[in-house]
Amino acid sequence: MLLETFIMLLDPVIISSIFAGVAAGLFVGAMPRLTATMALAVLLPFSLTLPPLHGLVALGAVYMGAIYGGSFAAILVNTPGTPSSIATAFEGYPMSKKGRALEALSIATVSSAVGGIAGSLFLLLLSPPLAKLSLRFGPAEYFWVAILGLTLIAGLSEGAAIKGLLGGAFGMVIGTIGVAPIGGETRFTFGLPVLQGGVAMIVALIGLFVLPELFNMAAKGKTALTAIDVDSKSRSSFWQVTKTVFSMPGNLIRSCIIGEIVAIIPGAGGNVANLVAYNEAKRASKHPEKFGTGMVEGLVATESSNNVTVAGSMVPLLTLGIPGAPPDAVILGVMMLHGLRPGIELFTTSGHLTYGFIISMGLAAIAMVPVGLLGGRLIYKVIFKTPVYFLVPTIGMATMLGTYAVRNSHTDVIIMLILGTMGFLFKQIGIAPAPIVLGLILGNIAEMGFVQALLTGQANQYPFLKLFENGLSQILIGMIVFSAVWPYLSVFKRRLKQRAKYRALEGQDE
Amino acid sequence: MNREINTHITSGVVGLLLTAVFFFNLENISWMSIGFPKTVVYIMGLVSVILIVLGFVKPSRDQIFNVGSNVRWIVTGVLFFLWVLFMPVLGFYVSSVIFMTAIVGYLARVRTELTMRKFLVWIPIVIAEVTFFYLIFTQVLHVPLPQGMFF
Repeated sequence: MLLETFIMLLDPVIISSIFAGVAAGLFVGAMPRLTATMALAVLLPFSLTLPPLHGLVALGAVYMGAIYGGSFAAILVNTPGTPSSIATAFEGYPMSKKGRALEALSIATVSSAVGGIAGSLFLLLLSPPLAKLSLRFGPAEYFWVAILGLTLIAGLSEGAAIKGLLGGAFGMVIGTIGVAPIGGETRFTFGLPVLQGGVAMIVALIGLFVLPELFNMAAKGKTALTAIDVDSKSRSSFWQVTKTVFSMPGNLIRSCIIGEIVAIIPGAGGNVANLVAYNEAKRASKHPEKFGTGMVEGLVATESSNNVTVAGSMVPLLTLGIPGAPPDAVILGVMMLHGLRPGIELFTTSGHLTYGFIISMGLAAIAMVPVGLLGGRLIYKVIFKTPVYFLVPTIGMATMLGTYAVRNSHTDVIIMLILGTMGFLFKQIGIAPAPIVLGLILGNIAEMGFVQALLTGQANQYPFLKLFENGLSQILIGMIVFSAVWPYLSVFKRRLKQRAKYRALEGQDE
Repeated sequence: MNREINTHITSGVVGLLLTAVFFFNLENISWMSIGFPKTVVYIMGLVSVILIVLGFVKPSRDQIFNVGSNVRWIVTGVLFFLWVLFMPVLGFYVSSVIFMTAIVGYLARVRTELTMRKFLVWIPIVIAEVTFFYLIFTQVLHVPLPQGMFF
């Protein structure tokens, strides 16, 4: 099946989608303040006009390109393009200041490509066996899996677990507007017939992920960015750079494994992986004291690890329907729009599509090399010459058009603006958009599981006990409790440590 | 508006308001349709109460609306809403050219002085951008965009 799928991907339209997706992702990811999630949300409606495989391949390539694109801004402006490139700036920018900007960009390109390929391989190897586990899942388990996804993201994403839960619950309620999936009656329409069709997931997703960022950009009111001068004479050959990257296999393997482990934990994506991998590279280095002055090891570690998370974070997504990171929520939304449900069916009935998507991400990682090395500088020049006052309305127009195109509905655009504005205001009081979107997406899975489980329990005196009966359900509930309590436990542990430290210091003083 | 507030209490109150909006709209329909939304509304209310209690027990002081100029994001937001509301009246093309130019001019004035000459440069760029998107959507993606009094 894999060979057949690979041959299927050699279609010129798919290859063009990969290259175009990587270039588009690189363009958005290279702009500080624009995230990979935003790139996916803006470009998502375009992908809906394509057949499912083409659309998913294009979005996967955009995701890969956006995470890689973040390194450009980190290296040239000392501002990470995406949160996944925070540590890239630690070594990349000092290299640029020493006149080694092109070398740093090339190293980031090769390392990102290696990371991207490794992530696809991890996904290819880990997903099918995990998907088999989903066969043991009934409605109750699916309900708990959805709740687990929400608690994990709420707890890990912003550090404010309860606010995250509130956001998730709000998202779930928005998701219930309109016709019930099982009962068939309408809920929460507030007397407005336009709400009978519900709030389209994509519409909410675009509004909540894109509009708050646009308002931020408008509020900051900055003009174009200023980058460090790139000395084209300092260019190193591609082979030289490749040799440099592969001359540190231990660092590469360690960073890729760190990237994958972090990726599998829902909520912790490239933003965590790049910092952990950088830290470990520093600890393992023979010259840790030189970190921060332009060490290639650090750059290789951050860029390989963050790109592993692109495909790597899709392991829980494709097998259980839990998005590993906010951009995965967009991918899940698209899959559900195409009628694809995470689990074993993805690898059997829709095998060609799923394996095609996985392999295409590896191809996108390879495509980053020519796109990044040949077109990267051109894309970057365009970015630097585009003033923010043009970017805001342009992205706004693309967002409105994309939202409108989902159902040719003007009302959807108004809903998108309302939800986007709410998302911005909520963000101010600590409720991040990601849990709201996840609540909206996972709410559907949770509701189906909840109602189906209660239906099967109708013969019992207390039908709701059906949700707790199964051993697997109990394990999942345990995981939910643990993930909800964990952020508080770790704070408590930190406080205890600090207290012990103070006591020890006081003892020394006395 | 750049001031510190107890965001636990604020978010809890916002949560309670949202809970109230949905709670008073819980209709008397079959449990299969309303069981799940009802449960989530109750959970939303509970989480909101926990946040308020937490706000009193462990007050959090967070800065809100410190992203830059509040007037700028509000005006940009209002222009976005007007853009969308005028779309069925003026049509996608005309409303986009008008409101895009307005947003470009409004945001640009932060850093540069507005002159007629600058507008003479910006307007053709805006028209080119809108035309590009208009053609992509209508001709390539076959999406019928809103038409107004012009086209």
